[in-house]
Amino acid sequence: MKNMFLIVFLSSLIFSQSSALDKTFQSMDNGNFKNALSHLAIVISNDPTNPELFQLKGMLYESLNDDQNALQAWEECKRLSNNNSLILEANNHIQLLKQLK
Amino acid sequence: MKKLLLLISFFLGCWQAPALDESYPFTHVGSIHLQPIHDYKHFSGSGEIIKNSMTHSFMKLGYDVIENKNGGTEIVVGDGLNTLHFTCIISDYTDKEVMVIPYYNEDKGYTETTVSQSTDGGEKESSQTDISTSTTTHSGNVQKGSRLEYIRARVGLMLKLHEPYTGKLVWSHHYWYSGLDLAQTADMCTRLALHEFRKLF
Repeated sequence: MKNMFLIVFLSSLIFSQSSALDKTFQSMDNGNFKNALSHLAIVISNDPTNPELFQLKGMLYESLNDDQNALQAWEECKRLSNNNSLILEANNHIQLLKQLK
Repeated sequence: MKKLLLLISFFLGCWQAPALDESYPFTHVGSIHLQPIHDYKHFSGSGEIIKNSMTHSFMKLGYDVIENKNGGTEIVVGDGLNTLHFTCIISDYTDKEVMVIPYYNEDKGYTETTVSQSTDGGEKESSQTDISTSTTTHSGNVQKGSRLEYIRARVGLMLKLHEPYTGKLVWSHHYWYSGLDLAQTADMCTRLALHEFRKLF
């Protein structure tokens, strides 16, 4: 019984992760970027070192014209990434967002 | 090691610096003629969108923009007599770039504590209660989860400034920008491009 609970608990954790990301994309498809950000926050709390999640966060904030939070997200993306292409992309965004400040 | 990382990030930051003919007297330039911008592949209207975004950005930067009757566009950048031609090629214009997010599930493990209690003896006075506790720690692991995809926009621009008669190239640069909305991404890409351009005049 105890094992059963454990399996249910662990699978619910995994499910909640993918389902939160699914909900993020659903909200994006509906154009509800604020809602997408709240779902993305759950995904990031479970996977806080994933630069691709911060890349998405940066773009969502940019779509909402929230330059300050977008800048923070892109800086975090750059810090966590070891992929040159993603670092270059982050640099482009950081450069423009700093100009807009 | 820290210095090396700083040096690497510095070079990465400069990777996209424009090419510039430093001997060219930019102060002698009075106007720039914006050449027609062709559509990107089969994306009808993309050239016109980028052109409008450029003229809008030039105006926001404080330059005078003159649209001639023959469809030409002139940007007044100074009092000089020289003229330069400004060419823009759209190297990327899509709202269908597929992005993949690999995500991970971290199983942090768990601790299991079992408390056993047994009562021995029938009579109340002589009964004995044994309590034993055992703790088992199960280690966790990080598992690669699934990959989820989303679609985003990406716009790339190749820009060139050259002398109309000699054909001499005096400045060139390549930019690209990404975002969730194509129109906004195109606008941001143009803004980024023209901010560098502003350092010349």
